[in-house]
Amino acid sequence: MGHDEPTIPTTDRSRTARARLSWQRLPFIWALAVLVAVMGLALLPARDALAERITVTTDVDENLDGGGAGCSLREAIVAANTVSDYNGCIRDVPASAIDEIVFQIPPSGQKMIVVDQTNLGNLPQISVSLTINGRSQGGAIGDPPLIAAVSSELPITSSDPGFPSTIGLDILGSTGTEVITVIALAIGQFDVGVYISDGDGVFVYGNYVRAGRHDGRP
Amino acid sequence: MTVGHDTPGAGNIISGNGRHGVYLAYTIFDPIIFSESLVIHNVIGVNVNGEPLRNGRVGVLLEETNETVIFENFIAHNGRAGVLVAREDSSACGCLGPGDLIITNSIYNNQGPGIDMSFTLDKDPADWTGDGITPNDTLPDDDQIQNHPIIDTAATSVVGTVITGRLESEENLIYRVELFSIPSCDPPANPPPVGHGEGRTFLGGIDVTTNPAGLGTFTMTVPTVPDGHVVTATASHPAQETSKFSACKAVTTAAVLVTPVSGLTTTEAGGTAQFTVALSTLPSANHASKIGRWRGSASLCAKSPPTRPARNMNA
Repeated sequence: MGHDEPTIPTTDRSRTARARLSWQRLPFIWALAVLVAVMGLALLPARDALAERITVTTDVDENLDGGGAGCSLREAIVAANTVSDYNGCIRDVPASAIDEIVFQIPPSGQKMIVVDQTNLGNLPQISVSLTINGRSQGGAIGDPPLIAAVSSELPITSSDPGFPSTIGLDILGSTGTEVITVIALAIGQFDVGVYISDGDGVFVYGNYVRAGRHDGRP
Repeated sequence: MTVGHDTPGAGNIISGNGRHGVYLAYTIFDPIIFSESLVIHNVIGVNVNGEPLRNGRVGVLLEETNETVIFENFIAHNGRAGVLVAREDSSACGCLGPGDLIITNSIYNNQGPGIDMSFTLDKDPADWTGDGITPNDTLPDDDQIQNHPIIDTAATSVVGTVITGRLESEENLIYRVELFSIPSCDPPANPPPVGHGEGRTFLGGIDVTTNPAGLGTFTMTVPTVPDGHVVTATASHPAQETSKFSACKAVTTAAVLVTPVSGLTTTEAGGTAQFTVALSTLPSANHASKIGRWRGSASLCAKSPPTRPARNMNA
């Protein structure tokens, strides 16, 4: 020790520090703490540490605040994308690795989800790690839930003949770590059954994809 | 991206769509898109009962992609090509380099070519076609459209169907040549004036090494192909680029069939071998089949048989 500064016990250091917090400085400290807290929340990872299961409980295609008929596939995709409960879709059961959308539309067995293209448009684009598993609906093997466009004929509005108008499932893959898997769905009557842009990390298998509204072929 | 599954039968059924079954396309927003994609174990153009349910246009359309692998799919009954690989402007899209591999699929009854490797893509909704059948390049084959093999002979005998052929492509490379059979050939195209086929039944694959002149030959014995069917072939460049199907070659049955009854190997000390010799078709006149010595070996096969009466199939 080459100088005369006394060694202050820890308790004394605390007391010294506390003594320096004058009454006049407290508002500034509280404001700073709140600011740090807000910034901290903003900087939290966008996803939960634990993945969750989201259960589709209705074959009605809806997007209604308050739940409506239950959790629709449309609302479930929004819940997955936003990592939050949404319009009756509860992220309540921890999934194994990534978010999973399952189907438990009573009673079990094949159901048809008719996408309301006219009022709601295509289903939301899937843009996060997610598994959509049609096998969860139960019923006979080979009878997965059906996702179909509205029965009314919709015109192809795009001037680009290569760009589809109606899409069954719209998937945005990633060059990152996202993994999106679509299993055991029957997807029909769209211009494009499954549209994948940026295909890295996307797995599509065990599905029956049949669109074919416009050509009127068998 | 993977469309399908490693397990056979666990892929997708992609049928009855107005346009294409599977469409993978490059976009300017991300040149990495759709590289190294895998399309595996799907049924494209057939329904759950195995009946035709065509996609209105192309079965699998690859537009400016690279390193995509199309493996062990059924691609049938589609309204245009079974697989169409379009490379209109590879240098601009950044996909110049390794191409797309199309191997071990069952491709048949599509209204366009089974495989169309094309420099153009007509996106008119009524069309969605490529270049169609075009002749092979003259050597060197360096234009990104892989030359297809040429099948010279396809003859059935007791050992199976023996297929011989050649490949004219880049020099000193090892290509994978795959052989297929199909009941009938596609209608003749113009040019060339010979119908190119598709490939319904995968018969096998063989490595073919080209010499410094770019020529490679192959001979492969495959399970017996039914009479009246034709065989076709594709060639895949080692840097992943698969050709169109070759022109069809009708399978012929060898005129004389030799069938072993007991071992055909004898020794210097002699021995007995038994076999039957039969004509593959009824003769219209007297027919003589001579069986002679196997030169270069001391073994005596048999004495020359007598001439048989007309319409006697046995020599």
